Order: sequence, then structure tokens, then C-alpha cells
Amino acid sequence: MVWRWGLFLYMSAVTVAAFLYAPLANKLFEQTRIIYWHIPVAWVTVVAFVVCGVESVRYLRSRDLRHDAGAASAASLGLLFCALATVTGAIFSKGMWGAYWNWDPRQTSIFFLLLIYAAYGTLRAAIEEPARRARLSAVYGLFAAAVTPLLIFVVPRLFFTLHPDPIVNAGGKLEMHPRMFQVFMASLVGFTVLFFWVYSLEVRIRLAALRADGAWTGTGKDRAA
Amino acid sequence: MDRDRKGSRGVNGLLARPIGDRIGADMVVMVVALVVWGALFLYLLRLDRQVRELDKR
Repeated sequence: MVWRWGLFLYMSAVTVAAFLYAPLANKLFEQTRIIYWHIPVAWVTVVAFVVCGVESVRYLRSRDLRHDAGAASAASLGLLFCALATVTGAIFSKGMWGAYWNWDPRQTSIFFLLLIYAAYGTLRAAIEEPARRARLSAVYGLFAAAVTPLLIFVVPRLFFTLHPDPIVNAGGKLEMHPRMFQVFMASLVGFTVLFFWVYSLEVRIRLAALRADGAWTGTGKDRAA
Repeated sequence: MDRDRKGSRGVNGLLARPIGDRIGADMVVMVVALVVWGALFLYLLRLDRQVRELDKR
């Protein structure tokens, strides 16, 4: 319980630091602060989709529904964080470029990610039998996880974009005030810990639901066919 | 020009306002962010407790 309160204080301190400690970036003005939420949320989206891919592979190898619950939880949380990244990005876009949406390569790729993982959720919702649902969604999750790095890291670099340079630019130089970088990294760590906490909660809730249905006992003897 | 500055919106509008107002607006946003985070945290804490009770059963 103690570490949870530690996380609460830590994230509160990051929020206060974003307003009172970190300076504003040139040309971004007050909108600088959105980077302390927008980028960490986008980062957590990638982490979630990678976890989904890893858990999908583990399920296909072991046929243990625990890994299916892990993959499903990661995908649904990834979708949530992806939506948050889209909304915070749109707010930034409105302030900087005058429109909430302008089909910038990064906006387009995040839109495709939303569609891909919304389809994952639809696929799961369409199949009732747990073992079949787990098998099909694991295969889909694996392909979706393979596409994710391309959409996030490769496609936006192939086309002209209005989006600011990454934190470490093409020349390998860090172009950020040291105080901004400290707050940014602190936020990145905080959001990652927050994600894994919520992830563990969701996995446990899914496993409890499977246990209640009699589809999973947790003994390892109920491997899906 | 004054009328243009007062009438402008977005970042330009914000920058046209006195520094005191801008800091005041920042504080409001910060407090709202902290309240939202606090509410989310308490919800997660309650959920955590419920899940632990569910695990025990």
C-alpha cells in the first residue's frame, strides 16, 4: 500500500514541477506543459501494445488463459492511453497549428493504431468461447504488435510532418532545457508505473471473471485446447 | 490594436494578457490537474482493495 501513496505523491510533485519548476519552451509558450502528459501517455501506449504482443506469444506457447487475460488487459489499456494521446495531441495541434486535426503523419498513424486495437476489442467481444477467443485474439495481437513500431517510429519519419522533432533529434542531440528534461523523464517513469499498476488490477479482474465462469482455476491444469 | 489584442484568442490571446493573469490561469489549471489526479488515485485505490478482497474469496 505504501508504494501506491508514494506514486500519488510522486505524480503530484511532477504536476507541480511541470507548472512551477520547468521553464516554457521557445515558441510553444504555455503549451509546453502538454509534453509532460502527451508524450508519456503515447509512450505508455507503445509499452501496452508491446506487452499485448508478448503476452499473445506466451499464450500461443502455453495455452494458459492467464496470458490471454494479460494480452487483453494490455490491449484495452493501450487503447485507452492511445485515445488520451490523440486527445492531448489534438489540443496541442489546435494551439500550435490552428486545427484539432490535420492528418499529420503522426496523427494518421495514431488513428490507424486506434482502429487496429478497437478491432482487437471487437474480435474478442464477438467470440464467447474462452479458448477460441484467446487463440484468435493472440494471433491478431501478435500481428498488431508487429505493426505498432512501424506506425509509431517509422511512418512519421518517412513523410513531412508539422510535429516537433523527437526529444532526441535526428542528429542525436538533446534539444531540451535540463529542467524540462528532468520533469519530462520523471513524468515518463510515473506514467509507466501507473500503467503497470492499472494493468495488474485489470488482469486480476479478468482472471476473477474467468474463475467465476469456471474457465480458469489457476492450477495450470485447465489449459485451453 | 488594443481591441485586436483583447479580441484575439488562443495562445496569442493568453500572451496579450498581463503576466499576473497568466500565472493565475496556470495555477487554476494546476489545481484542476491535481484534483483530477487525486480523484483518479482514490478510485484506483478503492478498486485495488476490492480486487484484493475478490482474490481472497
